[in-house]
Amino acid sequence: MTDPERPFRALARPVTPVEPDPAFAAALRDRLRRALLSQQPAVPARTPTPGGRPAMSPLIPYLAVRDARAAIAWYVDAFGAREVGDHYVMDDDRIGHAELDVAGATLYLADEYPELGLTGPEEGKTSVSLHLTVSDVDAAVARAEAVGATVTRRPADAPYGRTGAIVDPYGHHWLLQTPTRPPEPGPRPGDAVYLTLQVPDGARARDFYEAVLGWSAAPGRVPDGWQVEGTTPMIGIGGGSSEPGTVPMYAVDDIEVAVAAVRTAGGQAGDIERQSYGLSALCRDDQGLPFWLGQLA
Amino acid sequence: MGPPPDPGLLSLYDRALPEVYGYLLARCGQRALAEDLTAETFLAAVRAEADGGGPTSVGWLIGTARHKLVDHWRRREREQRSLRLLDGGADDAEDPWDARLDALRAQQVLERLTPAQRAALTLRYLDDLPVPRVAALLGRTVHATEALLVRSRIAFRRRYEATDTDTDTDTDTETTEPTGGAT
Repeated sequence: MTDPERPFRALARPVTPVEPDPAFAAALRDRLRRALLSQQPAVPARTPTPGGRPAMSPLIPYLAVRDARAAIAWYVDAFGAREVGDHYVMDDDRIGHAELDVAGATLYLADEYPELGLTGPEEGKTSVSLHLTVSDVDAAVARAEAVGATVTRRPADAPYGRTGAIVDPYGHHWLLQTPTRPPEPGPRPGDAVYLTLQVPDGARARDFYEAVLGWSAAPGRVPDGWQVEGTTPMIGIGGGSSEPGTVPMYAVDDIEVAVAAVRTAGGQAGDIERQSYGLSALCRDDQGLPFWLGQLA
Repeated sequence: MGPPPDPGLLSLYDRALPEVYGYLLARCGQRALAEDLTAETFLAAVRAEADGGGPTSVGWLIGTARHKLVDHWRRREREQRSLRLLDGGADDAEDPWDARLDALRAQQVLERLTPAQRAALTLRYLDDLPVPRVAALLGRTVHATEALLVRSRIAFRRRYEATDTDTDTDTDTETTEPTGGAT
């Protein structure tokens, strides 16, 4: 028999499990865990999820803490944190992953893994500060101090808000702040700030859009005029118009300049009228499309 | 407020790591390389799950590890191609060979072959895959794969028999088939 393959058949080798270097196994496990975490769907911050829970921030601090179990208990005690889900305990009893909800923000932490280069802060040395927004910075700093934090900055007023700083018993540095309330952001020039639905029968339009879009509307200042509640931009319904149509109002900084620009560009602008909310002018563009300009007070 | 990492894949990792690593180590013979390819295999599983594939069985992982190994040999082959004179260039006629192979020596010989020869012999004989599967993995036609296997067996036999008379394999500096400095 001439079978050149015969000796080679003896090479067949089933899969024989081999335990790899434990440090490699732990490092790869950690890498996989991070890869899995990074694949959580990224959603813009501050967008509420349907369940009413805040969406996940794209950036989450992940602390290495000596004695993670004690640290979790401390953050619960000092900051009113809440542990989300169950933490992961590794074979050597260290915590591999834990998630906390701290004042609505997410914080991950795990025990130190010096073999992976992950250690907690050294005494008096830290490179990352955790900035936590609280409703009452004085109370928050006092609470943290009472349960063992070192206060490094007593709460004091600053242009951006009242701010204090602590170092927790595990060496992590926290800035606690109650921000100065920012002024309500107004509309920017060019934003559509108001839509007027001009229809023959305002009440009928109100009923239609209540049924279709769930609007609710209160009577307006003019007969058969309705103010829709809670939409962005605001919407009004005006009855008594022979020709149905929607007329937007665009915000401008200076209505006299804007009216002049409309005319220069070939459009038509009516008189500037004083309203309860500011100044307005009904215009048409150079193809006849109507719109309002509004200089809001 | 992210959900914790999918425990499914991590628990599969704990279970399957020795099998994937053992498969790769037995075939590539180098710890660092086996570790790299093991990491690539599991990271591929993370991506596959994220893409909704939900693969993750030990069998899927071994199949992926095999692809990673073939990719590695293919890279090595490309690196060495410019350094090599010809792929064997040997006469395709094979004599029947009645040797009984010593597993350890066979592994050492395999490591001295070109990446393409090594890939072909490993998939065909260590993994015991039929030639069409080997051809598919290597991206060659069945005919070309059969020719490669013939050349690989000849190259293997030549080196195996050369080590037979030379007990100190570290001094094996046979140069009839340059391998780009790999020896």
